[in-house]
Amino acid sequence: MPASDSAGKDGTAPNRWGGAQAQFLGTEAVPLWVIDDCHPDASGLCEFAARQAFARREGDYYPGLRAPVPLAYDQWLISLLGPGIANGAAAELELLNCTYAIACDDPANLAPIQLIPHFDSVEDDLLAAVHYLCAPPFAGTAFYRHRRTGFERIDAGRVALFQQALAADARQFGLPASSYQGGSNRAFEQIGAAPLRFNRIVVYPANCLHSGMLGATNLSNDPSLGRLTITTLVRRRSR
Amino acid sequence: MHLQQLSRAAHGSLRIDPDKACGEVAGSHLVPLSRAELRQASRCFPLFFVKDLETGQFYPAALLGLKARENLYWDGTAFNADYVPLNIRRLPFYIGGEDPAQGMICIDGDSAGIDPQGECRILEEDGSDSAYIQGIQAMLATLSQQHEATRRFAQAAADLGLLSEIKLDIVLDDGEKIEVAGLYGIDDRNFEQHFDRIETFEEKMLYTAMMLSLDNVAGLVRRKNATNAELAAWHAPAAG
Repeated sequence: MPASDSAGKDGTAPNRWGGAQAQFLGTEAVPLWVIDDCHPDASGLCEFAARQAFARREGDYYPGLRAPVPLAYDQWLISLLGPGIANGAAAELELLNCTYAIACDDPANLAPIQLIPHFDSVEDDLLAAVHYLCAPPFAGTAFYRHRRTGFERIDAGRVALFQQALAADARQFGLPASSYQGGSNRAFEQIGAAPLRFNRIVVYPANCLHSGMLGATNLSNDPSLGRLTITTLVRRRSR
Repeated sequence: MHLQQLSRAAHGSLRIDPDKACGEVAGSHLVPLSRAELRQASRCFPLFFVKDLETGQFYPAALLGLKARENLYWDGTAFNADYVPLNIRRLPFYIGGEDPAQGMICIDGDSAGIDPQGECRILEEDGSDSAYIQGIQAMLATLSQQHEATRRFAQAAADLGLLSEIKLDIVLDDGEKIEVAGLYGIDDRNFEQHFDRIETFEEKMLYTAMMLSLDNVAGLVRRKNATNAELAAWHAPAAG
């Protein structure tokens, strides 16, 4: 995918957003926005999470549990991201799959596909937002280039090629060991990272290759102890 | 794609990685063939006639996948077959211009095959053409020279009534059903009926080769099942 497809260069999303300057990662210029101290009551979001029943969602490759967010969160997120996305053009935002998420699965129990960098969607107009509601030593989100293909983003036209290349990776390197992706390896090269900080939200294209940095810390399924986030897919639609 | 007319001044120092250049067809389920390569290609691929949607003319092609944008001969790194069609081997070079017979050699400036670490050079250090680029020139010349003969060969098959539409109904090992349509092959009954109207022995051989090549659909299905099994391993939970 050429760099001209990246946000800020084709009107999909702006370079500046909520006071955040986009970074562009890799050779495909994957945009990444980082907005700090974004929510006025982040502690309240954590307290709300502690009262929820977290559950696994069927068919979800997310390595952990999810729970619904407060009703007001959607509107707050739209108000945060909307002005940036609209960028003077007539557009509206639609939030998809906005949930609390707590990554807690033992990698030994996961399928190999859950242990490598992934993409959330092949759609070009979808952005992913991750709102960190925990603090270091939990770590943030890393972004990758798939070495065999050179892909940093996977659109619909690339899915088959990516799958073929994964099969070749497995033949050459074997399936990944039972541990979360951490940094570069023979199949993937890390091209950047969004470090984790409490009440920081990071936004990036939903079709870029990324992975939560889950390897170095003890994971817990307790929202008050674990790697608590809110994850959202954001679609920008022209009116 | 950014086609540029090949020149010594602009491109003489480039190096090419042919495998990376072939990655251009990693998402192609059909590759057009020249008449000159039909016999060789018939041993590796199922060969069909495909109708050009713009001109309505038929052209011979090798089927490489069972779904759109699927190339089961692309193994993630290279095109893995005993015979590599000219339209793949020539990459990243093309014939430019309106008339293929008069065409000029072009290179795709955006090709991933242009690689400083590539094993093939365009010019030798003394400025002479490399063996690699001479081979490319020969391939492009063959494609150019065979363009009209290939067109006539396909047209003759249609005019003689040898073609019939072929629909493939396939059930894979995992139960998935695939239907492949829009392809034309040599109909054996029509072939027998019109055999004596086919002008030359060579054409009879080529039509026969194309007809027999359909047995290679089984090989394509084997490749698809193997690919699916490899992908399934990625999704199998480690602890069941």
